[in-house]
Amino acid sequence: MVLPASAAIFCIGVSYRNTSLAVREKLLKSTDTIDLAAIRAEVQELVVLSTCNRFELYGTIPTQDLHKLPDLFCSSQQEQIRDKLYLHTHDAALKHVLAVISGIDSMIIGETQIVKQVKEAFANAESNGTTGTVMREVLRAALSVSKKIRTNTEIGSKVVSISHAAISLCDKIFAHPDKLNLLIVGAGEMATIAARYACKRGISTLAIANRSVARAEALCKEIGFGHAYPLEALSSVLAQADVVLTATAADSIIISRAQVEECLQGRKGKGTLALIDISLPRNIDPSCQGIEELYLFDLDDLKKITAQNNASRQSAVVQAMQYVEQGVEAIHRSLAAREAGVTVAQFKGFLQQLANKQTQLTLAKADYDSLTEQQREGIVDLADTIVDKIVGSIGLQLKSASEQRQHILTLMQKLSSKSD
Amino acid sequence: MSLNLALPAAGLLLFALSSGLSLVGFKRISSSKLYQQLALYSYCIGTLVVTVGVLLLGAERSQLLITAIAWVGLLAIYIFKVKAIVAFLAPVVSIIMLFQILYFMPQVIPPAMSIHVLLAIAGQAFACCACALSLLYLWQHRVLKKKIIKWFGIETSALETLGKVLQTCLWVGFILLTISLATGFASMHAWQQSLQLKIAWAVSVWVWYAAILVSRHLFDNSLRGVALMSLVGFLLLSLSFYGLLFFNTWN
Repeated sequence: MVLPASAAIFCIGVSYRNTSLAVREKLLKSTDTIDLAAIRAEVQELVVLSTCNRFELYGTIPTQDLHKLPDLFCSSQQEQIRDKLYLHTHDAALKHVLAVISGIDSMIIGETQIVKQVKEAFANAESNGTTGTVMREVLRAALSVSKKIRTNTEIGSKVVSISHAAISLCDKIFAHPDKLNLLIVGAGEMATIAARYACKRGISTLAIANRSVARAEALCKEIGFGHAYPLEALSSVLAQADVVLTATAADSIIISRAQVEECLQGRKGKGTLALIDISLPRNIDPSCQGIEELYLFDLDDLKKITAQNNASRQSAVVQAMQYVEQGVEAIHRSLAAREAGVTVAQFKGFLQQLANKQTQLTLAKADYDSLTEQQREGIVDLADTIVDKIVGSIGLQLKSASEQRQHILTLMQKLSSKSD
Repeated sequence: MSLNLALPAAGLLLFALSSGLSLVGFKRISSSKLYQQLALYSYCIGTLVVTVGVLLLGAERSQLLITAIAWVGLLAIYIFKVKAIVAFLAPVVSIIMLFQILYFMPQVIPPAMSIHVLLAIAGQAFACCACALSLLYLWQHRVLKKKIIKWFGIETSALETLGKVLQTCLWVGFILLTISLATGFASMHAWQQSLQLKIAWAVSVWVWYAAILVSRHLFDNSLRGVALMSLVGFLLLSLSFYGLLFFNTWN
């Protein structure tokens, strides 16, 4: 461990795994119920991560003060969360931070929102002046590990919500999903999520048909995109759409096979039509499935897709944990390199001081009065060069001799401290 | 082992490996991306090996055809980003290569007919690629239509993209076959092998491919229909290539 033996990295907090939303909400809304000032006074570095799914503190603290953390965290009103609290230290803490930022520990495995939240938490800590070398290095490594995991594993590659899966299905059918004409029937919660996601991904046009046009208009206004239509205009809007998504509370068929066949007659040469029905009971006649060059998916299909995607994310966690282990090692290596850098610089300063002192003493002797200024400078340069060579060769030794490394560093630290 | 045998054998092994890796990718869906990538590498090296074979050993008709097919496949992969075509093209190339190794009948291209033959080979390569794309299209259509959810995890190009690339291959192949046929007629006097039967086959293949394109563009045939027709087209083409080869041998 590179941190001085007297200091430890820690992670303390609560998450969705062991606390209810109400408790987390309380923590989220009133972070002042935790005496952060008192915690800051005890720790060396501190980062506060507060999201809807977790409230955690990361930092470094003198090892002998580790036991104080739960008391500090659960001060006054927070006593009810004491038994829910987890405290990770040393490598376990590092692993936890890396797992959190990589989305491994998220409620929806692989979600990306957490990266932004962790970055913000570190930025806040930076502006409060509570971060230092160790936590900066942890963030750097955590971001790098997160990127590797998201690139090299399936952890975040497949969507796991029904509305998202419905829109993502278009990728399997259409060459340019961003040029699609999307018709959403309904303006409820599922329709809103789907509309937002579709707009975020990019579409050509968006039509929202709803029994209450006012509600459809309100949704268009909220998203800032699309046109609202009454349900009566469905047939005419249907002919213009490439993808139709129904998400209503209606208890009967809204789009019949006859309507779809009529629509297909009018869209000859316009390409494929996809119908996605996420309503329960179904709003699109299931017999439409029999029509050639038309693809129909219902809630059951989407549930199967999301279940499969979730399973695929779960299996990616095992692979992702290997990257986390590598990340922890990388942090150790990096911190060790920093520590070595600082020690070598201190040792170089000590040697330079020694060389300067000895050079000055030597040159002050009467025997060397006859030397010119140029010759004196040459002797000083020679002493500096010798110091550089010694430090350079020690640097090389440190890189190659991993076992003796700590001995060499300790010796250098002892020698440097004697100069004081 | 002589270079004559070693290079085609190495090529066959690589294309067979590519086919195998693609198949494993279909089986192990959670790692399909990795297997797809490995299959692609194997396919690329295989293409390189058969190309070196043609450059070192000279232009023999069957080897030229295999090389052309492999390169057209690479065009589809890198220009149209249809990586999944490897899963269907590699087995087709492997079968042709195996056929070539087992029943090797070197067909030297007569200089007078070189343009005609080269154009025909290029046309056949595009037709072969269209066949692989048709298989891929039909597979994906079935997966979506029958909602075979377990296959959804496999990364393939969008159905619309497959349809577009399939039509492009059919058009390019058809144009090349047309020019090849025209140049063949122009230099017919230099041809001495079972001319009538060959012309009959070539024309029937040409008519079939013309019918595919006409049915699509004039009668709005579905892409599924086009894909099925292109499979039959490739079968006819293979018969004209290998069938006549055997016919000539027996006579």
